[in-house]
Amino acid sequence: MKNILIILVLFTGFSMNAYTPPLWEPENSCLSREADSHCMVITIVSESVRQDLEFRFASEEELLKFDLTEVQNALIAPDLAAEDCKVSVTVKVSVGIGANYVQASATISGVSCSAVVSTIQRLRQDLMDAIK
Amino acid sequence: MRSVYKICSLFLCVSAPLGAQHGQLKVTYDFFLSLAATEQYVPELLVGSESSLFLWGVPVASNREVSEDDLYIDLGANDTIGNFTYTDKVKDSMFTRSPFLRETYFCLRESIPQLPWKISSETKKVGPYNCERASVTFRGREYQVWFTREVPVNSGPWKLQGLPGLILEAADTTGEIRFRVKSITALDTVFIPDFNGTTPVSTDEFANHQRSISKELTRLMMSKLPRDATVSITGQKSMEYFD
Repeated sequence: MKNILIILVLFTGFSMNAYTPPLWEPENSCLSREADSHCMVITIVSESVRQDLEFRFASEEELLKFDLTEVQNALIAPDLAAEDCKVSVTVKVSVGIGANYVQASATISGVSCSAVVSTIQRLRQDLMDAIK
Repeated sequence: MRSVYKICSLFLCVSAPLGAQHGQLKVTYDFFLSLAATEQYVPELLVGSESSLFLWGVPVASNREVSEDDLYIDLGANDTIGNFTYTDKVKDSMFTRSPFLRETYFCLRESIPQLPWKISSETKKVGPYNCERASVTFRGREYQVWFTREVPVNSGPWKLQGLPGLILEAADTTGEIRFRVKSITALDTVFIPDFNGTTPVSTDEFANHQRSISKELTRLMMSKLPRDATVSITGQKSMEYFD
């Protein structure tokens, strides 16, 4: 299996409340999300290249229906082009439960590089279904 | 479990105004809870002569700092009631409603904690009020607070109480928990819950439930993921620790 690290960052607003402007804004636009805004960052690190892809979505549905070929075509890491390319995909999850917070990670190994994005989205949806 | 949830859900529905009583207050705070994302609440503390109710409500804003976390899911506000802490001074009881997984809730009943406050000589003004500084270690966190004797009630946000004046500001030393007063107004009604038939859990039971969150979360995640997936818990934080 190739030694490729793939980090997925997803920010999704679940709040049903009226939005109040936050008191501060981080510099990274994708990390300063508004309620009901959705953002996905995929960082791919191989031995030869680091690539950051950022996508913004108007709704959670739009994120889930996102055309995966757009991401797949944007991948430039040469290791990912190999036919036998396999990677591990890890999605980290932080769950806030009132006065408690738990951080967990879910990993699937042996994922075909051509199925990275679909695996991430499936993992994300499975985790959402499990927890919410 | 289910019966506890149902009873807790009825809390505010059965509440009733008592009518005007002297000295009742409504204190509004900004409350920032930064265990993962920074959640901003605007809770209200309703203070009566024999009881008080600290009602978190639901977050009004959430902000995510630069972090390695990939997916943040907030399960803290599954209904319009949310978290609250009710203190009954007559019965020396404190009730806390806290969400758990799968839209369930626990009601913790405990004696009113006797907090070993240390009052310092340091002073400052918060709005029009002259305040004194006090500190206490409570359930794994060290709190620094500013309170004023000019509002002579021994209440404060959440479970922080027992000083000879209202607590206007409070923060733990990690900065993960911060309260700051927004307004103080006279109140002519106060909510009194009806706990008839309620079977709240004890501190030990509540602590066990809190410890089980990681295990239960792992089980829920594994139930939906492919068989070859692995799940690991990498961290857990709580507002209060019972060990």
